[in-house]
Amino acid sequence: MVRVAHISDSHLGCSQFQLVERKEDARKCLEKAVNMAMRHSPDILVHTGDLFDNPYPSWDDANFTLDLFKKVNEKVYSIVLQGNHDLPYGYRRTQSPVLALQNAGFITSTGSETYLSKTEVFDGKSVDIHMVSWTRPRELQGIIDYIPLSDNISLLFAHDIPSPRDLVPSHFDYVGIGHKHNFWLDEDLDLGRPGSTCIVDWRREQGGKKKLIIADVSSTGNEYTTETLNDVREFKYLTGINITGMGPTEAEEIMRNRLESLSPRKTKPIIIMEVDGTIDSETENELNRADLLRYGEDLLKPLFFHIEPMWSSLGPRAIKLTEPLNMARSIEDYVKQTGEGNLIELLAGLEKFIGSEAE
Amino acid sequence: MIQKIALKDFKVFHNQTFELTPGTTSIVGPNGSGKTSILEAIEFALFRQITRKEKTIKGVEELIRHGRKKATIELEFVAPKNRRLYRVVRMINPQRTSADLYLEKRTEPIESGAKRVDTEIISLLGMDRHAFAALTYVRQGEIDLLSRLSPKDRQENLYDMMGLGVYSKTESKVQKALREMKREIESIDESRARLTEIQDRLPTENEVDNAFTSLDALRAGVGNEDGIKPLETLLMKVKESVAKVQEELASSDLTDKKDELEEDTNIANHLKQLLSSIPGVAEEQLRPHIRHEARAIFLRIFGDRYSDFMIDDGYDVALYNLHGNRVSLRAASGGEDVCVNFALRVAVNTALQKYSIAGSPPGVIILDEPGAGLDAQRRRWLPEAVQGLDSVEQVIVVTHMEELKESADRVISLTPQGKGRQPLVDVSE
Repeated sequence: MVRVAHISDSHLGCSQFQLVERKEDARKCLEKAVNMAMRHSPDILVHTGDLFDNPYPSWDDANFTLDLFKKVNEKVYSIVLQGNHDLPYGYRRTQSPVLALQNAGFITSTGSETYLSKTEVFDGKSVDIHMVSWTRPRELQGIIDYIPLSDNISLLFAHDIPSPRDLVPSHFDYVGIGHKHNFWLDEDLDLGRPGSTCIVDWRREQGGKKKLIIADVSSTGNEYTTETLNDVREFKYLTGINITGMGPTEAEEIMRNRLESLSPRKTKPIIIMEVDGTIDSETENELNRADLLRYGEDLLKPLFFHIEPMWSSLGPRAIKLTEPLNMARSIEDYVKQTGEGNLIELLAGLEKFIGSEAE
Repeated sequence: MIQKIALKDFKVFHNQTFELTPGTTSIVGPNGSGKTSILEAIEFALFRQITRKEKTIKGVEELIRHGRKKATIELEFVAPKNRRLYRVVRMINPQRTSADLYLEKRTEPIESGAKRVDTEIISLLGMDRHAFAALTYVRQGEIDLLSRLSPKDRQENLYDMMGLGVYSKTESKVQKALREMKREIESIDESRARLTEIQDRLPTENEVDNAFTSLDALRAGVGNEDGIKPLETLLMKVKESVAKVQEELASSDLTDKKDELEEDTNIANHLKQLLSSIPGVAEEQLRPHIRHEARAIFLRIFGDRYSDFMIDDGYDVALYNLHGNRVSLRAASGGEDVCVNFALRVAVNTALQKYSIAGSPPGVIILDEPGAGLDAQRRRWLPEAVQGLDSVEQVIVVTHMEELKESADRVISLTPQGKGRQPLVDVSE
């Protein structure tokens, strides 16, 4: 039996909403994931690509990975693939930051090639490890098709395999992929994707899970253990807020109420509020988002509070103006048709504020 | 509809009468022959004001012919409201103008006095100066301007041409008033705070009364009247100040005024919001009509070459050729490009006349140099276009283009006679 701990997509250096704190968070998340994996004392620790968010990582991130993999180097056979984010434009593998880790001898990667195959002995058994870094789908298909059958336990790790159900032959004992940030494990196909270690893009990862996959691979069948990986930062999503047909005051009140119902567990969470619905352009103009943001920040003291406007605007209200060019008449029509009050005061105000026509 | 303009000592005209009929009238003449003066006379006769974009008129004195004491404008017009003929006579003296309004051929005016005549005319026309300008005038250079703008800028300019610009102007006035009120409230708060501070430092009324009591006791005990007198004066002064501060704090300037201002601020905010919303509503309401009118105008001119003409919500224009294929406006020749904008600009007026006023439309469109800035090739369709404007009763075209003579039912030619002399007027049917 060989025990594989599978993590993926740590995206070091990514920062949601350009928050510097998130860069630190990404490092903490990766460290947490590696520590969780090491608690299971695996034979192989595999990171299926996108270690960095950018092929030119900061010194902090590069040093951090060196330290991290140096620490576990003695205890486990580490593999890191090159993902699409680890490769400079045009598949320049020689410039990939993952290469530095490999040259330091802390990890095994595909080096300046796309594909690398190794045979190692774990627990008295020979294990074929096939590693494919990020490449074009065609080349990927070619590589997978030409991997020969063998009697050894054979593992396939690739950064991404589009539609793996159709592409991957069934003779691999475990197939590990990454690239997409949500957890997926198919025990019949022996195919696993842990998802990213931290939240990289909240829009796509909202509602999805991230898990550490521990696979006990043997020729007779695999056993899987999964463990949920939460982001070190608390993300609070406020969804399902529908403000269709509301006026600005009502809509704001609903949003405020939702904010008040929230009780974050950790300090400085990231709060994201999605607001749906169809409103008229008057409401849209008068919704005071700046005030709401201030209110939310004072109330919950988050690291960041974001209101995502997913509402659509219907355009101006259906109001019939009898004389569009006559200001007083139009105000009268508007106020009467929308049911707003204060008509007499408004008309008096109009005269008061603009003075007489002759001026 | 305008029937007659008689000018006496108005600008370059010594004594001149222009008769206008339904249909198209061209006023043709070279630069400086007094064409625009006629338009200004119409505007002044109706509204006692002249709007010009570039130039400013400092006083009505400038309208009087050089060396004369007063000018007279007489304008006969059919009121859209009741279809009766009115005659307005305005006399321009330096400093003041007088006005009389007559009904048909009566000799007794029905209204006298500048202000009263103004309001009467506004109610006869069913619209004020802004609306009238938006409904009837196509100003010099506006068509050319439209064709040079990007769709987005074009939309903004059309807002102004539709006369909706008056809303944003008023909005900024309200904004200004709001700012002033805010400042006033702040200054009231400030003086309140200052007075309260002074009040805190002064003794309270009770303390002063107590001091008086002990002074009396002192006087009874010691009996030294001369020594106690200065103390009493001092205490009297303190008492006065305490009373004064209290009175000022309770004065209506500080209490009622603030409430009033806050109420006004609320109303002004509401008003501002309405003023920013209404143009959008109005534009939405007028857009389909403008689209329809523009299409009709364009197809009347270029119907033999294009099958359709569409204006989308962003006032972007699409042309369709006879096979029904879309032709981009860039690919169309320059003439079409300008014509599209001519149609759009005139459609704004005709649509406004039909759909923007409660009463009947004024039935007149005034085109000021529609061909300005265009070469002969790009304006070759213009006579035909002007002739085709049959949806309004009266079209007045002011131009220096000779070719527009043929398209008009009636041509008034002005020939300048030199500086300070009245131009020679020649009318041909």
